[in-house]
Amino acid sequence: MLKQVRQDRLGNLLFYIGEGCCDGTAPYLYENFIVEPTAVQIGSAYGVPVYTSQRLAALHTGKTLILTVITSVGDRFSIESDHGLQLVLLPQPRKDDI
Amino acid sequence: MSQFYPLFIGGRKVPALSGATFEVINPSNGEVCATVARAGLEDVNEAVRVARQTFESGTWSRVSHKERANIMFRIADMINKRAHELATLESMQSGGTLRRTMGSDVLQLPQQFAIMGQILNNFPIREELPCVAVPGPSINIIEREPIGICGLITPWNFPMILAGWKLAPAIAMGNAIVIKPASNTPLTTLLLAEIFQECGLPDGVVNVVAGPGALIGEAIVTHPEVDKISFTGSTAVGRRIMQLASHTVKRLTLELGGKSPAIMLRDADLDLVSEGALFATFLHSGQICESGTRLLVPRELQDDIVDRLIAKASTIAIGNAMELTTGMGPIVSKTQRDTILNYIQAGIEEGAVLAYGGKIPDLPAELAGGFYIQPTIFKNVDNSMKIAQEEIFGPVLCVIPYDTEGDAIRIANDSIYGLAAGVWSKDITRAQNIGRKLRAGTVWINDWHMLRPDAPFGGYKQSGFGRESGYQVLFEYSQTKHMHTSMVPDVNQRFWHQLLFDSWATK
Repeated sequence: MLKQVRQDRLGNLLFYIGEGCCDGTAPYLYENFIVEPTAVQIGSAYGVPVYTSQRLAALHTGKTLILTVITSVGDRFSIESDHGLQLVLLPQPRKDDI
Repeated sequence: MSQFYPLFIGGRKVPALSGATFEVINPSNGEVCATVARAGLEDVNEAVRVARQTFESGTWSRVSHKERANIMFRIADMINKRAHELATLESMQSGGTLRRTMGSDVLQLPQQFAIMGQILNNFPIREELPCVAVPGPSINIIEREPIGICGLITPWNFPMILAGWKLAPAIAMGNAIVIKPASNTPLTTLLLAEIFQECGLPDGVVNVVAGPGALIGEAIVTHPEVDKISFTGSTAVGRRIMQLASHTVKRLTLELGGKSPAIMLRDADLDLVSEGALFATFLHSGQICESGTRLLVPRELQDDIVDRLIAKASTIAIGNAMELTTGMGPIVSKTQRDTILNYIQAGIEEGAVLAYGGKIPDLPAELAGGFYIQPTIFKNVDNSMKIAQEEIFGPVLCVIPYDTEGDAIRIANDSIYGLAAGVWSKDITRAQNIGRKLRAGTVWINDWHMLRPDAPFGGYKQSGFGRESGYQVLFEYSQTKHMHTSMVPDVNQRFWHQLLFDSWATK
């Protein structure tokens, strides 16, 4: 997905896990997005940093968040949607699933 | 073969310049119900170009506000005539129940246009200030003009109503519009554009570009010829839009998320609350930004009220949105349904008690492709839990026990959102006083979801800013100009002599 996106998005990419309304709490892939000073980097995926708000970081402390790419007709201003894809969060795997 | 819906640009139905299309799914059965032209960057640029040309030509922007009001009334009439068509299309594309789209949406929508027409007839398009002698006689007029090109971006939950909320004032004030409906649900917006044309709205005033992807939304928000953006959707995207719009200093109206609390006081009518709280949460399967998703109850009454909620919830019929027997229809997509199920699991893991629902219901085989969840009730929820803090956008009610009224108000306001709130109580004065302490743009006393075209709607805090509906929405879609005309008869009496030309030392 990132390779496809990089073909025409040449700016700085980052994932931002945001919230509210129609999409609920979800990951967004943005180009040249300015994160707030209190944003927390919680990891990275294939070299692209993953940020979230201080508030969501606190709510999800200790959890593993899995960013998954699915095929979907979406238009969330998240740039993977230009390629018919959508980023969603999956729950952390439960102990009995492993 | 499903029906094909082209874009609507410059009064013409046109395919996308690239020829691309995309499909719209009926959430009740998971089947394709329409094919729509898929707009690309070039279509957005064309729509903005046409809108700008139309605006500058004055065919709508320089028409008198009385004439514009008459077209608004004509639009309201035509929406009434085509109500059945609009309601059926809305139910099919969005999963909103036919009971709701026929019984409520198509009653509200024409009112939105009619009331804007009425407000426009009495709007201070032009005011004259009193004449003052100092610093010199002059005529001072305040005039309200259209802003220019308005970019409207609407979500998939109430596509027709929310398009109407934005289109009505934008059109009323003489603006030209490029509207991008959500790609799940573009059909009723496309039909509305046809209806406007039938009513005599000049070509090029309303242009509809539909299509998935970030590109066309970004294109509208960053286009230098677009003067204002009105967006309803997620807080995360609202923040992105603010950043993109900052490059060209666009005017903004943002209607974002909510986690609206209802406080049940000790004297509340429990029979009323047992229905009202469910109406607040489960209408349209909880997919409403102002849904009442947190019910704050006195601790000692929690078990009683939850039992009553469960008894009532079990009477809600889940099924195909287009069947009149259905009370609660599907979730709009598989992804949304799975996201809600994740939250339900999270609630259980956080220690809330799942009192009712929480699963995919058993339904007839013909609905197996649809996306359904049972109405779900959690009790013993703590306000710090994810299910209480994050907007789930599904049929999940969190019952939160409280001890004192002060606690209830504090818990209610402990949210980054402030879209709506409610109080359930037989003591109206007390309820209203509590309502004044709730940080929310709409407060319902013993009710929910009741909105009207003459009442402003919008959020506090991260639920957004600006208001839709009400008298003040016309200010959101207009520019204000002060025009000062000098009436000073003699150049030597000009005030500027004192400031710039003559020396005070020699006088």
